[in-house]
Amino acid sequence: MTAARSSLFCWLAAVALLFVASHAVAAPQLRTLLQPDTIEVGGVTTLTLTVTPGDNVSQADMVALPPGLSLVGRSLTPTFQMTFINGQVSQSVVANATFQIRASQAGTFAVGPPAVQVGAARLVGSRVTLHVVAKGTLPQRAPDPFDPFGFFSGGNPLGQLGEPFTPEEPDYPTDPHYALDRPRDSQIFLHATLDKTQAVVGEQVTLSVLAYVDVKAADMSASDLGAHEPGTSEFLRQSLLKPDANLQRVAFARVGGRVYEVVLLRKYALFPLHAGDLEIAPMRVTFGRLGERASELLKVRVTEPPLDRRPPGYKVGDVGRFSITADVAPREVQRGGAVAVNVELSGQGSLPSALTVPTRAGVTWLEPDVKDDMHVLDAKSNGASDVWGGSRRFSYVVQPSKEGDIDLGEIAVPFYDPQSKAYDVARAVLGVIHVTPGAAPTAADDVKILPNMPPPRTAMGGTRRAEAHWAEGGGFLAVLGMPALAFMLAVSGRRAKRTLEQRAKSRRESPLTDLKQRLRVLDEADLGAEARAIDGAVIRVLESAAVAYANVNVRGVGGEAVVGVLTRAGTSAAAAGELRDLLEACAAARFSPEGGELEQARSRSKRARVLCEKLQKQKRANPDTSRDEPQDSPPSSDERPEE
Amino acid sequence: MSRLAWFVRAALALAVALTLAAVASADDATRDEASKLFADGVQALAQQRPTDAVDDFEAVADRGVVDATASYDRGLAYAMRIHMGAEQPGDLGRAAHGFEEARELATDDSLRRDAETALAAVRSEVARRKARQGSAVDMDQRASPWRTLTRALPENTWALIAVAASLVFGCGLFLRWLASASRARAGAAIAITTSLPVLVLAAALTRSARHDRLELREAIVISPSVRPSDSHGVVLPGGAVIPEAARVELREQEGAFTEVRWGTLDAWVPTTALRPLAKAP
Repeated sequence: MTAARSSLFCWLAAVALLFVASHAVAAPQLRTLLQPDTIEVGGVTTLTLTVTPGDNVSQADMVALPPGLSLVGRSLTPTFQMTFINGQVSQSVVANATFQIRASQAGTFAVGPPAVQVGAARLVGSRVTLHVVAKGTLPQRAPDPFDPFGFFSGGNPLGQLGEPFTPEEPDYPTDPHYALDRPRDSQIFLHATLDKTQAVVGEQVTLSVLAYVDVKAADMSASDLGAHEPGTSEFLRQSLLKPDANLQRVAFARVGGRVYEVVLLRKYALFPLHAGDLEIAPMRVTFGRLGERASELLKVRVTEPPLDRRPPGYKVGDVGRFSITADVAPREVQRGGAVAVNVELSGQGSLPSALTVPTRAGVTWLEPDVKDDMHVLDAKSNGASDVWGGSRRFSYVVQPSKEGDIDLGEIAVPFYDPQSKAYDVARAVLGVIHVTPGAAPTAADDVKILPNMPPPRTAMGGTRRAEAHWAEGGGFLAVLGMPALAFMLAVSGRRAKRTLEQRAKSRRESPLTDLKQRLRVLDEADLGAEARAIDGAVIRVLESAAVAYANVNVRGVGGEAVVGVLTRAGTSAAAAGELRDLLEACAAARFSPEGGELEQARSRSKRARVLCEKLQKQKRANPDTSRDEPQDSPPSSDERPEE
Repeated sequence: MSRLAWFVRAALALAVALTLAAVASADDATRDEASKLFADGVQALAQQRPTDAVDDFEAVADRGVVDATASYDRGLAYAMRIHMGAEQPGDLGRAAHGFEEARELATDDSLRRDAETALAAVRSEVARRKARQGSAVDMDQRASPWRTLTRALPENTWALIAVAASLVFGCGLFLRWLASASRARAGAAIAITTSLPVLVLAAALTRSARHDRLELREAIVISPSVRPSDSHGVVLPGGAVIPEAARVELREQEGAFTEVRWGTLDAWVPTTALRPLAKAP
């Protein structure tokens, strides 16, 4: 790969500067780039000096070119950038001073250095070397993978000074590790990856954000790049890239049949702050006219380390592999004096920011002075790359307030090692200090806060258990309503019983029931041999039929009066006459001295049955003729039967 | 039954038995571990090593062991740390939490009394600090009259009263219905008119106590100063502060915030500022 190719491709310089800007100090940084560094006689190359920040750049110039080279173009272009980091907007200006140089003879030339005026200061870039070869010596130029758009190849994104761009597929060494099925967007897209999707609280998860750039992409304006950092509010975030690091091409990759340049934009060590499905919001970058590109929304399932065998004092989030050392000096001190206790905690992972110091009677620990040395651990010594760690030094001042030998105890930091999936405890024994008498007063116990607390208990137990509760389910409501329900049932039953009895009684007292009963008596009489009994039964049947079907009581009514009352009640004259005739015939036979003949009595019985049916039909045909109450028809004088 | 089916059933039965045995064994192991941690904590308390005691008693709680004595001693460990001048932010609230839990869970009257005494001391200290800051605060925000009445008697007692009132009411109805003597009918009328309101009230209180038992979740504020906010995260006007060690009712949780009720105040506070009270196992 040529020197030109090995340099960082320039079209992403703004992105690099954006990244650098988030960490950079205020002093301007210069970068000199000659692109290309070998040309033929008659060809043009571009020398670029980039100044970051370039707010106050007022002019650019360059040392006079040697013979054989001529300056054919010069420009000073400020580029305005907006950077969004965690909702904070920062603005910066990058100045690009470009010099277009044409070669007229072969040879090797020292060019520059270029210089810019920044405020009152003059800043000078680096001297570069240009090789000019005879015309036709260089092979036909393939697209530069570091500058696929030709953005910095002479200031014309479509080629060098109007020369037609001839695309040709070079043989890129693609890395299948970065291959994807299809591009997420055209020409350029972002792709975020995690080294793991499940972790415990406090365990490192490495997030990488890659930019995939189509090496054949031909038009790209990087003049107004803006970036929105990935959203990692539920994590503690540490960058695994050096603050002043340039963007790195990590590989070429084949995506959907095309070759892409893979550039590492961000690499973070993320430490989950709590359990749950935690989201990492997409990183967003605006690429000029191509518009905004966003990485994927990622999720990490975070759980707490297991409860089993969790050591006392473990704080959720202390995950990694820690070790601890401590030194105490001096070991002998006056009461009220000061003892320095320096504790160094080191190891992999996000080290705890505070330690739990041992509490002993007569010993006061003041707030510590904390110094950090956290960084990406060396891959060779650590056995793995991109591991966050380092050391944290806590400097305590301890004041003893009682005399004698005092055991300071130990400082212990329990942690969970996700690799071995086990707990461990980093310990540092502080040892004993000897306190000699001093002038400092001793605080009385009763003036301290919370004095005279009740004594502790030494045996577990005495805990109320969940009781059986009566009010569970519907049984309780049923029990509550039972007495009232029983009362209502009793009252209702009694009323129902009365109603039923009344109905039965009324049925028993109805004319039809009476008629049926008398017909049964007539049936029995028919079976006997007593003509008088049959006639008597016939008379009672007829009287009952008159009541049931004509609603007329003909008892005691004789002769034509019977016909009169029956016809007034709606009975046909024939039926009324028949009834009268039967009544008279039965009465006559019944009360004759010798009694009636049996056969005649049975014949009257049949006639009476037929008459009953006839009256029943008449009533069905004309139900309105009947009245509610039987009509007692006291016979009028002319209708009264003869005595 | 084919041999394969028999084998599958036997394997399933064996798996179930082994699982049950493993669960029982795990419970025993947890209890043993908790007992050892408790003993270590008691020893640390006796040796005036409150931070070690706190770690031990917290480890007992982490294992899901709900024990009135462990909660009480945990509160004492925090209180001892405060007393020895090694107080860490939230220690007062955590001490109050241990004592509240012990008071709620204890069956031993002396333990309950000691927990109440210690709790009063912790809350007095909180009130004293607030007063020194110039913001007097009433630590005992009264519950509503209805809740106070509900808590006056156990749920089963309210249920028993309701059942008794129901019986009296039913007997009164029958007596009034069936008796012919005027004195008996008058007595029945009195029984009906007095037992009916008692029945309604006791039944309602039983339901309320049951609801509290099943639904109510409470917590102790373990942050030195919690500024309540509304549902949009805007701090409530008037400088209202829910003090450390206050007992609040948990209502709803959204993200990192929880809606609480403290007295008559409904507000949102950070969930990390609260430690829920355990219920009887």
